[in-house]
Amino acid sequence: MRIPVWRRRRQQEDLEEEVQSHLQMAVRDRVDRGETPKHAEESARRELGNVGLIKEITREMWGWTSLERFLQDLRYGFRMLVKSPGFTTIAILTLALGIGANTALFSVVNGVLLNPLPYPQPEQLVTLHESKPNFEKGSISYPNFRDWQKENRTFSALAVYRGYSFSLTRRGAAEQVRGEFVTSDFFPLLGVNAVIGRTFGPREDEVGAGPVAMISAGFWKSKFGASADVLGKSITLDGKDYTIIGVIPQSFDLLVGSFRASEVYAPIGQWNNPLSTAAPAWGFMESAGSGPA
Amino acid sequence: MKHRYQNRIELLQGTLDLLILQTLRWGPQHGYGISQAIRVNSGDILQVDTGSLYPALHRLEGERWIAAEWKVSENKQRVRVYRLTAAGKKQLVSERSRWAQLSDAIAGILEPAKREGEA
Repeated sequence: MRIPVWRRRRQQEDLEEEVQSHLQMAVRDRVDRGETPKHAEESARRELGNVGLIKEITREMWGWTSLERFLQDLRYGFRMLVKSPGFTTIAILTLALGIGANTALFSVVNGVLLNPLPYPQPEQLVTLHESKPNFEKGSISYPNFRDWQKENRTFSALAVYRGYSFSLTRRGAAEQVRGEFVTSDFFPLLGVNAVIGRTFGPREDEVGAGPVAMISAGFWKSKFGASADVLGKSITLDGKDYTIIGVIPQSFDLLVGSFRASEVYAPIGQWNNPLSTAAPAWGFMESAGSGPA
Repeated sequence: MKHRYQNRIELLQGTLDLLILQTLRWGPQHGYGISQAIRVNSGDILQVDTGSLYPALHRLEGERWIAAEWKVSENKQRVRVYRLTAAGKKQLVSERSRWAQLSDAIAGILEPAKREGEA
């Protein structure tokens, strides 16, 4: 006889009540025969025997004691483990290391072989750093980057980025938006195309070029209701009007170095006139490059 | 402890089933009533152990020879009442004839002279 587990508790309670009613009837009979209630109760209990045992044997008739035994074994196993902490520690460590090593290995296989970066020729994408005495992987100054670009014979394209936080005004309440300054090569290098409009053109990242910007799909929805006539409109960032030329797809996500997918992107030439400022004051940049195609 | 109990059930099993089924022949009855009826009808010789009775009742119920139902007794107490099913009646007939065979056989061994005399 197989009883579904969900009916178990109900059946337990039934059996409990059945045995209790048996006991009460036995007591009443004894009282009717003239025994004192206290004595009757004691004798009836003695006659009934071990209630726990009765229930245990009856439960065996129901046929799900195997599950209960299994749980008992689990509890027993747990107690034994607690008793010998040395063995337990080694066993758990062995398991943890085994599982951890497998997980780590699979993560690498999954990332590299099964799920590579969603960019063209991901195996050729590299990040570049400038090594300095105190920074093995330091940022690069923009003038140095321009020299790299000029003398580069190793990579098919080089791009550079610099994170920034803009004050956005004249679109409702003023707010801070996250931005990235990038060179014109940045999005073409990653194979990212605009949803509408276009990415930055070849000379638009020059210092002194007209201020243009690209915006994220999220920003496009929240500020412009995803309207197509956003192109050519302007947003005011740090008090300067930027003309919107394109929208970056929702799927674009990149976490490399200090780069984060942002709400606005502007050409690097717009960044506080870097070429005319004394070097350390305007900081450094990391760069991304792509190997020979 | 448990093994001793199981052995006791095994010993009683054949006869206890028969006694329960026979008792229910006279109408639905709860567990306590069954044990009292067996005790009284055997002239206080057979005392059904509660530890055997309830497992047996639940086993017979599992075989569908008896059916159980919650009722309220005259003392306003909720009791589980068992009744004989059609399958149970058939089972009772076959158990009775088996018992008759068994007791004949045992009687034949214990008192061979009497049997020869009959024959």
